Amino acid sequence: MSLVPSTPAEAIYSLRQCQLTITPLKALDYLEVQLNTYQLLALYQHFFSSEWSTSQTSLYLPVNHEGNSKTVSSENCHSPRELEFITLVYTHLFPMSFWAVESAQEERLQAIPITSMGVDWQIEEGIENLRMGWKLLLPLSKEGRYWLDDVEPEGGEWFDSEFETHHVSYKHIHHPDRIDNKRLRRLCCELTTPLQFLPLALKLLDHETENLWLDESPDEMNYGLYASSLPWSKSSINLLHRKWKQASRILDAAYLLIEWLETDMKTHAQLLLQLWTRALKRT
Amino acid sequence: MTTSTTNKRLVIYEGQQHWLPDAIALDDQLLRDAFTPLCAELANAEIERKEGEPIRIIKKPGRKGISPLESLIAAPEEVNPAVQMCYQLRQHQLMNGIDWRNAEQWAAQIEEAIAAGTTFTQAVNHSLKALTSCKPASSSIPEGF
Repeated sequence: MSLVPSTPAEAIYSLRQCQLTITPLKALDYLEVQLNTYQLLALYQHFFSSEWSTSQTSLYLPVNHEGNSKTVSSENCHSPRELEFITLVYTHLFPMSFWAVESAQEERLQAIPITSMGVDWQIEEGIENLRMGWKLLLPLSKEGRYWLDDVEPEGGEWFDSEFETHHVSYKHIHHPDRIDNKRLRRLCCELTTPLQFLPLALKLLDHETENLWLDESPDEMNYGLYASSLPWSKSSINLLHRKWKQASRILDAAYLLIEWLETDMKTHAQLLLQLWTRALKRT
Repeated sequence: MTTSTTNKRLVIYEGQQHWLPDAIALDDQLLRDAFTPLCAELANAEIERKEGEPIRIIKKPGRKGISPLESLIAAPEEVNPAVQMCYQLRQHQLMNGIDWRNAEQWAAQIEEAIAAGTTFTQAVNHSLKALTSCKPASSSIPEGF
């Protein structure tokens, strides 16, 4: 079978193949682009075979890309079919950040971006933007306590000012080092209220869930984009999908607790602190 | 064969005969210094002296494994696998467009070519580095020329 270009896009694509590549560096650049294309097309057919069979979008870059002088190299852009696959991925399999999706319109996603979906309270203004329920849990988490005691000057005062009306005082909350975590988990298991999810919520704050969607924290370089990435492959997508399902369950449980705390902060905060005190290590 | 005349001695370097004054020929270092303008490598040359025979100047061979010739011989002779794959893929796509039916196979082949091409480029760069860092050396002249 040979291609008889039926559209200008296909014709331009064919003409582009006539370019001579002699230097290894240019050959490697070309192959990187082709690898990305074929990886995405293979994964599209594997994960969304029915959508693939009915898709009408083009495998080739639209012609107007050629005339756009702002485009440095049009080969470095995804074709509409590849973009369709990326959309299916973040719609059905796992999330992608707004920035990653936006940048995919301009240049190729060479790897799968992993966006932090946990509670990123350590970023700038992170604490201020936390929901009240999360703020209340901060002194109970190891990282939160460290932040309030040693990093943030007058962290305790800030906490007291936030919870003044709820009669919660920072100095009366036991340090997490004094808590018997095994005992805390056992006590939580006996509960029927969302308070049973306290250990899980604290793991989220401490980034200790062992789930790559929840423990990654965007550093300054990648802030707003994504924390890390994995190569485009079946195993990566399967892993990310499986981990995202697990992460969703963890997030759902933790937010049940947050909402429960916030529905009656004064009463529920007291129940929380009573439970915390009961989990103290016995000397 | 006469190897000395009044105040002069016969010195052979790469098959060529040179008559040098005794004052130079009898001293190894002066002899080396006299020949160094011909070839920089002779600064460390070996001087062979045998009774009744001419003095011979023998160039010391370079360290094994880093001579430019060895690097050239060791360099791969085939085309860089990345360039080869690039040509093959362009040819295929020129005729068939994007071969989505065999996308998985192409991806695997391209990945392999990228890995092989990168290794190949590193090997070439290594040889090139060895070539550019070596000192210039004269070629050997067969005896009689």
